[in-house]
Amino acid sequence: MRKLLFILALILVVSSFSQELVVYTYSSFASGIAQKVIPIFEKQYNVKVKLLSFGDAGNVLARMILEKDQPKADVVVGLDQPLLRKAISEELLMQFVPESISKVKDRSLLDPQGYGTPYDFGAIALVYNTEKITNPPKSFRDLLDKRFARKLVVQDPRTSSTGLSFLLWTIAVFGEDGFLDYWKSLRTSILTITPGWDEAFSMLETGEADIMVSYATDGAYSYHEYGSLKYLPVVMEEGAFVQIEYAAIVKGTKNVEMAKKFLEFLLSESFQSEVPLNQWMYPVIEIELPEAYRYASKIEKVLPFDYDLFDRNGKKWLEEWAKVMIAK
Amino acid sequence: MRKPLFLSLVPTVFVGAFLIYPLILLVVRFPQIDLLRVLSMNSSVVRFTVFQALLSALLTMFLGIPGAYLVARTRLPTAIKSLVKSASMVPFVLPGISMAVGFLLTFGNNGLLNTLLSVFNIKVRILYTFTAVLIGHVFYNFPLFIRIVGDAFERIDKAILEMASLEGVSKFKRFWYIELPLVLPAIGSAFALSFLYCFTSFAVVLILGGIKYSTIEVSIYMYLKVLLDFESALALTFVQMIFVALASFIFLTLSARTGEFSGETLKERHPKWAYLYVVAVVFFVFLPLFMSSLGGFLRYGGSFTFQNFKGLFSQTVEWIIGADVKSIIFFSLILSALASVIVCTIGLITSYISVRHNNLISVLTNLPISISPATMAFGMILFTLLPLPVKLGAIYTLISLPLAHSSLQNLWRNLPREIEEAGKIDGCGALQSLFFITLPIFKKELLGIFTFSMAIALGEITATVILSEGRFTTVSVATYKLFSTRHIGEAQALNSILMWIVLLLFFVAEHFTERPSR
Repeated sequence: MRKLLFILALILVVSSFSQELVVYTYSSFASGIAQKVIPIFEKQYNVKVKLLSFGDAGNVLARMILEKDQPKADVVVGLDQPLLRKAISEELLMQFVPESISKVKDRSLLDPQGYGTPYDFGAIALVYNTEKITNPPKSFRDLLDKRFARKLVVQDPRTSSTGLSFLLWTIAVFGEDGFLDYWKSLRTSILTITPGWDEAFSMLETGEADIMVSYATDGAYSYHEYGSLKYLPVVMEEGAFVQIEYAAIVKGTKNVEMAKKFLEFLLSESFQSEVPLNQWMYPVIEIELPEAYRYASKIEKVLPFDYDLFDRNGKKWLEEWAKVMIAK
Repeated sequence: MRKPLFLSLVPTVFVGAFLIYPLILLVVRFPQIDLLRVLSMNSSVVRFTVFQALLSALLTMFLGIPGAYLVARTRLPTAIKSLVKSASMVPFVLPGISMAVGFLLTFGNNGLLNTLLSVFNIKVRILYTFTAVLIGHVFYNFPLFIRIVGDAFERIDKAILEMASLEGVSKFKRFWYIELPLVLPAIGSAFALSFLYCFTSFAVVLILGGIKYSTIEVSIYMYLKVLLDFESALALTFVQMIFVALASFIFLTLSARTGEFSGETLKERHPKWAYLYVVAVVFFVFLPLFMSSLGGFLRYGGSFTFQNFKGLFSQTVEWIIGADVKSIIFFSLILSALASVIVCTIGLITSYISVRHNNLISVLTNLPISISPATMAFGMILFTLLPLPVKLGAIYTLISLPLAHSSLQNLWRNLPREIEEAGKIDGCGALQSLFFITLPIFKKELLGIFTFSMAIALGEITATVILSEGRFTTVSVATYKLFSTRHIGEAQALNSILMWIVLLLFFVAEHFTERPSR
């Protein structure tokens, strides 16, 4: 009898274990939107979701690479296009396309290889101090104008994902052969290069710099949080550079069914409706945007970007960029 | 303490297990390291790194030695001295963003300096030049000289100096021929340390230098975090390790001569240049420090407010961080205090061995400088056996070890062997001699190191965020979470609180241990 009880208890323990879904993600997802929507998912499927975050998405993927032989996560949330490709080429993910993907109207958001499920997207923009700049730059060429000399602060693409996106944006506009020349000319407009977004923003706040590289939804954010329209975004007329965030199932998980349900959930209305005011990104399904989004830049023309090229040459681009910009 | 071999096992095993072994795990996991390619792609960065580190360390030395003398040997009021000694340590442990805000508010476009100068219609641009990098490094490394060299100055026997004066030796000659040789080993240690810290500098060079300047550490970060190219990151880490080991070795041989001296400290009237010096220090070190403590009052949009602090204790913030701020501060203090006890213990052992037996151990204790916290953290991920608090504690300990080691070296150098021997004759065992003779003499410095490593542990953000899994929250993880969810004001408020805690720690430590003037 006692033995039986023991075995029963063991089965209970084991089965309750499998009812735990381990999700790897970045910090702001875990302490932001997840707090609102994860309880809904847990209730809906009677499952416990264990969220683990390791700073930014790069850290998340680094950990997955290190844990490759014994993966601990069932689902990973937050890989953008380059990180998703890296994860695929490291064979860390399982192919899966949720049924609800049909709700995603813009087909260019989908992962052509069928691993990642897009759940939100945003665009890089230049954000300027409206009190100091009345005539903001409209295009990349415009940004080279004398009136912006030493006014712009950018993030180092070698240390910041925002900075990397901006670098890729210039490559999308000027091509592999032209972007370095553009950066050479841009040097006169750049005041300094910061290691991350935070430092750049503090420069805008203290009146040190007047323009920084940031996101298209920044105007909406500052209007919503502070009722302020002091800093407004502008997307260059050459076209927007879109950053898409994906979630995917981790290869080797024993929780495949629950993981699939989780990805379906990310495309549900209960999740997507929380995206605009928590992630400050655009939802991927048709949902009415909150009022604050009047002050987000419209993304009209999206620049195509060939990530195959990034896979092959990304390292070279960064090293060459450093050679042009640094330590002369 | 008669068995140096057995004793040296402790630090060797510690550094071996928590620094070298995780690194080996990384190398085994990523064996294709192409050192030559990485070096050729980064050759200009390597050159600049060495150049700026040498120049920065030299400048810090020229500014640091007079400061060390003033603090150690003059009759300046004790309160001022404690303030100089304690406050000057704070920048060293500040998160990069606080430092950046401090410099922007002091030397920036709309900073304090330019606001004052605008009365005379002058505008100066200090930031975003090579000068700014140097100022930043002096600001950071200045305390190394105050601590290490100051201590050496303090321990020069009054009798020797008075004798020299009786013989009619001029003050300059006395300094050149007697004092300088006596404090030279300490200068060597301090110079070595500040060279190494400037060598691996990261935020200062990027933020203050503007475009054009960058260090090896930035390239390592790129390979590791942006490209996830562990092979290249490891290759550059090895380059850094070799440089750090080589540099430590060179400085060691240069400053190897040790002497023993003790007795009372000679206290003199402060020279006239003291005023000028204090003004310069206030300007370059305390002003940015003070301004950065105001970062928490910065309102979104740039004006000043108390709102951020109110917000910090709100429900929303508790929700973002996952715990309330007070309990996080409490928990962080406990964890960092534990790590600091280990730092003191290991530092005592390594410094003893280096002074009394084999100085080579200093190469080992300096190694942690060459390995970025991110690399340490990724290595620790592969070290699956260890529980999380141990991983973090070990990293905190390693980061502080180089400074603990160098500061304590001086004390062993200056501890007269006769005292230990007298103890032995009286039948004092090794442990007894440690607890009743050595520790009481070292009390002051140990407390200083304890607070220093505590502050370092409290402020460490890179490794902590990578390892904490988001559930294990310290003050720095909380700051990170606030920044990443764009609660900039609250994040800076928390940073300001961290800074005041650190300042208070240093001040209390300094105050309690100030020896009564004789």
